[in-house]
Amino acid sequence: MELLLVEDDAMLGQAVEIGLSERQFLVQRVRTGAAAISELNRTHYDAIVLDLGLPDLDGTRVLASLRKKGMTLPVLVLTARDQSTEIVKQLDNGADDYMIKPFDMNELAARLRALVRRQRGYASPELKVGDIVLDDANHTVVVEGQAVNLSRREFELLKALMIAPERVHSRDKLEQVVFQNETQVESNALEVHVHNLRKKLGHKEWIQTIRGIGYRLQCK
Amino acid sequence: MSHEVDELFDAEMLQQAKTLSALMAVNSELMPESTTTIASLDAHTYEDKLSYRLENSSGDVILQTEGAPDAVDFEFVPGFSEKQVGGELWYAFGLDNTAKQQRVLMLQEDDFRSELRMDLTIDTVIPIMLILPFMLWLGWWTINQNFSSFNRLAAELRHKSADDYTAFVEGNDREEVAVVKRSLNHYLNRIEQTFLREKRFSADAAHELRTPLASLKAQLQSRLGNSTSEQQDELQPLLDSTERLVKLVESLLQLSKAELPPEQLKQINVASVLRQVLADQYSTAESKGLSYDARVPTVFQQTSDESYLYLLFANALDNAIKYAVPGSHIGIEVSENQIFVCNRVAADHVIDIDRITERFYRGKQLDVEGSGLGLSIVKNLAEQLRVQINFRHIDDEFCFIVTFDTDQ
Repeated sequence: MELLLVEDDAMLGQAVEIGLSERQFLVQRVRTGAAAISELNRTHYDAIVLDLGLPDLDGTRVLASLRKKGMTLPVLVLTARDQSTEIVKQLDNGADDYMIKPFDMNELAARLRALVRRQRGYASPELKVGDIVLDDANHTVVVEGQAVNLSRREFELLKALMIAPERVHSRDKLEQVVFQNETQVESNALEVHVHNLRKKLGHKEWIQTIRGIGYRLQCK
Repeated sequence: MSHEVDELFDAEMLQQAKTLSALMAVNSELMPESTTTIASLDAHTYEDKLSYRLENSSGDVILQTEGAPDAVDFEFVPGFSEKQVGGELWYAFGLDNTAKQQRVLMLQEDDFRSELRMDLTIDTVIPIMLILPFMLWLGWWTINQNFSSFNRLAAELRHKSADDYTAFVEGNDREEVAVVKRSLNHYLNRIEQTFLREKRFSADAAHELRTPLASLKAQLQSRLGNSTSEQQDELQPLLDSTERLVKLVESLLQLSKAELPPEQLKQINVASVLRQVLADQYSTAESKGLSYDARVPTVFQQTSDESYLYLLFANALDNAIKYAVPGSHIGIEVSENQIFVCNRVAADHVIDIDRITERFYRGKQLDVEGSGLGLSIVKNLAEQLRVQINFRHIDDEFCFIVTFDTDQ
């Protein structure tokens, strides 16, 4: 997997280059925006890791420039700025993902792999947690090898829980996912859907109630 | 006033003495041969209080009014004089016409003068006394009118919060007030700029630290992945320290953010924010063997800011998780307009409640990982959100209490 790393800080650039190389990436490192554009014009890359604070051209302008030229390669932005407005701006500007410094090297590598997979069109539409397999594209759920028929809301609820298993999801966030913009939602409507989902999964203990807070999926 | 009255009467006596002396000189042949007393007409109460006496140069009385003191009691003295005669004070003016060998003595009793003095005083003072309250009120009102702009400015200044640097509006103020306002606005602007520079510095410094930290962390992670177990034993503490440094920088950034007011306060469901914080930190609490006892209603509407409030609860809960006795419960309760986050602490937990929100204050719990900035961040956020925060440490229970202003 060929990767262009644009980072002006020598020490960080070197560390990321070594870290990603050890994780089977072929890394080409440049330190300026102009060098990045020139490199992209010359060579094909599978993805680009772009620092925003560059000495010549700001990373935002490099991103705008390559999108303007119709380059569709995935761009992961590295930033020291953590304001949500800044992050939204970069994503709207054409970035595919972002990471705030300092970051975890394993996570950076994993995100880059996911971005490239998605770019190549074989990103798995399946979510798999324990014995549950959820196919988002075909809207199917298989539990312990058996297909389970879920309603749209039950499906969305299970998907939300499966995206971040082992993590507690507040009931407010789950309500947003399940009922989206509906204004008139019964106070116990979520509980009803959780109850039904548990029944259909056949293992009530898989969806754990965190009293007063929300739910989490525990299915190994 | 009595002095002026006396001056007036003295002048009058002098004039009368001169007139009588002139008349005596012109009509000396008409003067009586022996002492003549002009009888009282009893026409006026003051008649006897004004007298005169005409004498020759040897002191023999030629003519005198009834009631005038005898020459024995009040001898002729040239010029002004006064004397007590029979319990009454008399004023006199004597004029000696040596050429004609005649003397004139004009006499006035003090009663006459003092009554007039009193009348004049009353006539002068009473109108003043009557008009004085009005004059005082008028003076007070005029001063107030003139100083009302200053008073308004003083009130505005008194009610201005310590972090409010908005300029005073220059309306239809008097020139002198406008000058003061302009100077104050200039001063406020300078303070704000200094304050913002300081805040920007800490935020910029924290941002700048992120890149070298990222480099350090990335290098340590790389080394750790390709090292022997002995090397790993040496590298892991370095990576842990780097993680601590990362957290400290994040805390400094949060502290810097919490010193700026949120864009806009609006009605939000505080219960929802609280639940999200509890959900996000559940696994951290769980890893320490802690559990929640959450009593949070579905809806708890308050005027606030979601991201600031999230940060406030996240830091408060992080504090509770850090200091809670492993295996205990963390109680979270919403009651009326208050939110309680309570946890059990070790019996030897020593903390000074008054210093708890000081930066880098950690009490005596130095073994617990943390920077000592969490509750300083909470305090700043509470000020920005206009909520009250309190801490309670009784026996082995420590509580953090947020009180929302119900009048908002």
